[in-house]
Amino acid sequence: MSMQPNGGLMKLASQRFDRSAPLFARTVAMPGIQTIHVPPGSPGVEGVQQPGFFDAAEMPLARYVFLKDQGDALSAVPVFPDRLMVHQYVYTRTDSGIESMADLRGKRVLLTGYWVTASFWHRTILEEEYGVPMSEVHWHVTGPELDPRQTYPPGVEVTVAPGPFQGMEVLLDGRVDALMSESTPPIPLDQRHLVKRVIPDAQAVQREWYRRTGFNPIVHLVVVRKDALERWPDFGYELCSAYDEAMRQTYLALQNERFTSLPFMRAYLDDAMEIGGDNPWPYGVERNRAEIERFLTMAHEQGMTRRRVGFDELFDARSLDYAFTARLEPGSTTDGGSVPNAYR
Amino acid sequence: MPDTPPRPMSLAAQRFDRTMPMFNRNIRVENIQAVHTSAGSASVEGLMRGIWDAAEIPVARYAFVRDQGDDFTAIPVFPDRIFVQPYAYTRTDTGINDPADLRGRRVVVPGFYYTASFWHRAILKEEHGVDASEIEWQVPGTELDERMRYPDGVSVTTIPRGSSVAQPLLEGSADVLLTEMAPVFPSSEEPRIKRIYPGPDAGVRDYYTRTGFFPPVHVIVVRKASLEQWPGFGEALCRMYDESKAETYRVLQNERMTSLPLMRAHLDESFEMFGDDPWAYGLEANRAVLEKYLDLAHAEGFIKSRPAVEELFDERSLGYRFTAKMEHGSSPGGGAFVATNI
Repeated sequence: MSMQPNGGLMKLASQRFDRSAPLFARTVAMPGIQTIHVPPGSPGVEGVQQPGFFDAAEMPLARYVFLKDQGDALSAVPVFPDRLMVHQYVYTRTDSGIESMADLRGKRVLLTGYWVTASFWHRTILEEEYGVPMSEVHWHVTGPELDPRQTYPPGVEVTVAPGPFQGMEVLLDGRVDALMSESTPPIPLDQRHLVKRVIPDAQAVQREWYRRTGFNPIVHLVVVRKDALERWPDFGYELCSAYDEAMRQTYLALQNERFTSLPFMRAYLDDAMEIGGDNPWPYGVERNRAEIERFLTMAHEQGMTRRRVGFDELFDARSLDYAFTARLEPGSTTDGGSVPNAYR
Repeated sequence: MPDTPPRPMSLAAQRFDRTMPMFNRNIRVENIQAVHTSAGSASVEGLMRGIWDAAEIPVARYAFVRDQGDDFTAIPVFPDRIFVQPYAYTRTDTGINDPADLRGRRVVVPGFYYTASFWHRAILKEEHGVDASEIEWQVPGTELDERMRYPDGVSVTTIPRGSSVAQPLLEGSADVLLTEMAPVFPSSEEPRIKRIYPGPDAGVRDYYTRTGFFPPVHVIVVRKASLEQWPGFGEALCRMYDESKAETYRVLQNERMTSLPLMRAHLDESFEMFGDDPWAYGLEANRAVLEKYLDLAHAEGFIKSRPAVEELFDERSLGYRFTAKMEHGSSPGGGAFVATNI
């Protein structure tokens, strides 16, 4: 066990979710590590790429794989704080005439960014599940890609049209025919009837997809600067331990159906355990390897990386020794009071 | 009379997502000191003995205490509610395949007069034709209030308190367990245990669609003596709970905040079935289910008089307008919610 660094605290930049809140509230012992809250987007990503800001940060998976291909001095730990299903985030106007994903052939489709992690899954699902090659869609993006070194592949048409991040206005005013998002765009109440999901039964479809593939697409992982690992070889391992303990505390609250303010929470927990077992939000490589391998292949085939980045290049070897143990138990805890004080 | 308290008022309550912001002081709270207590006696006894000015207590307990003429009122805030059907269990060897099969069986409940037990009995009778008098009830230990009497014609046996409420079912001295949460069964026993109500959700969606009932099991009760010292106390409690829930909704509506892969589907369904306030406080949103509960309690003789729903609550608190709403739509990341519940 190596000692903590002499040069002060290691800085981790992270977003706040239920599963990371205990890191901020410090109900998880993290000697040597200081957690800094960053909003979504670039601050954490930029701050870990340059020396002197963050020693570790939550970063989009696509961004990390791109940087690996470019040879940047980063490693990662198998912790995935953010994941999302994408079938539910394909929207069109009710008057667009688009009735199915297959109707997107030849249409103008807006993405948050062409190389945003969720966009890879959107394109692959469109091609593989609905038979529309990505070369037969007119892609629009709301701004330039986040890394100036990122270019678009030959044979793919991408129009850069600066606009709001989530793109709903661009859809509503008719500049594009569909929107492939990575969150639920806020739609004003009086305009809600103008917008629909392209996959009307998206929830059932992606539930089946999740059951079949086991994939709950990873959009963020925790990256670590290699120079930080040189200073403190156990830094990655300790990050795994901290995130695991935070998840354990989170599951303890979550498993109590009365804790969360959704009336059918017991059914949701039962459903989650039926599909995802006792670890519906898994960290570690075992439960995530197939999905990450798949992403690495997509990243190369879709033209973001010059080569197919290898799975073994991604993670700090010492971190892979960490055995994640957090589990969601089937019984309800007696009341919210058994929840660690720091939850959220 | 100046509407400020002569001293800070105490509230004993439980922690749920919707109450975290008030415990953690992420919302502005003046003149109220919220103290966390676990379920049950610490809240109730503390309230009875004047340790707390207000406390979260079971709905049935409040109905009983109020009927006995004690000096308490309540505010229309219901921090805990449950559908009870998922918590009806039997063993696979009992031959029970349907709720109607409970007729003539030995059924253990954690307390005959637990709020959840009223709803179990109501569903058995109204949906499956099984009357409470047709069941041999077992209760571990005594009821929580020694003044409580069991109804005539109903067989209730007091059994020793076991290591868990599930013990009689596992040992075979009871055929059924009707409880109010998911017990932790030993993993070796799990294959022998099954739910009685069919379907992956134990029928709760159908039940809610037909009846509109999402039973409240806890309510916030206030000492009248404390209200006399601070007439705005109940209203201030309503505001605190409302603002705390608004903070929670703001976090919860982001599907990425909660570690369940299908969270967006769950939020969509909640929105569709319960609208923009799935965990509703206030009298009007809860009138029908409270009327129903009072009818049940009165019909069983648990309360001697059947009050009007309004009589349960502090009048001034009924004037408070609850405003917390869950929006439909997520922010791109949890980080957009700055320092919410911590």
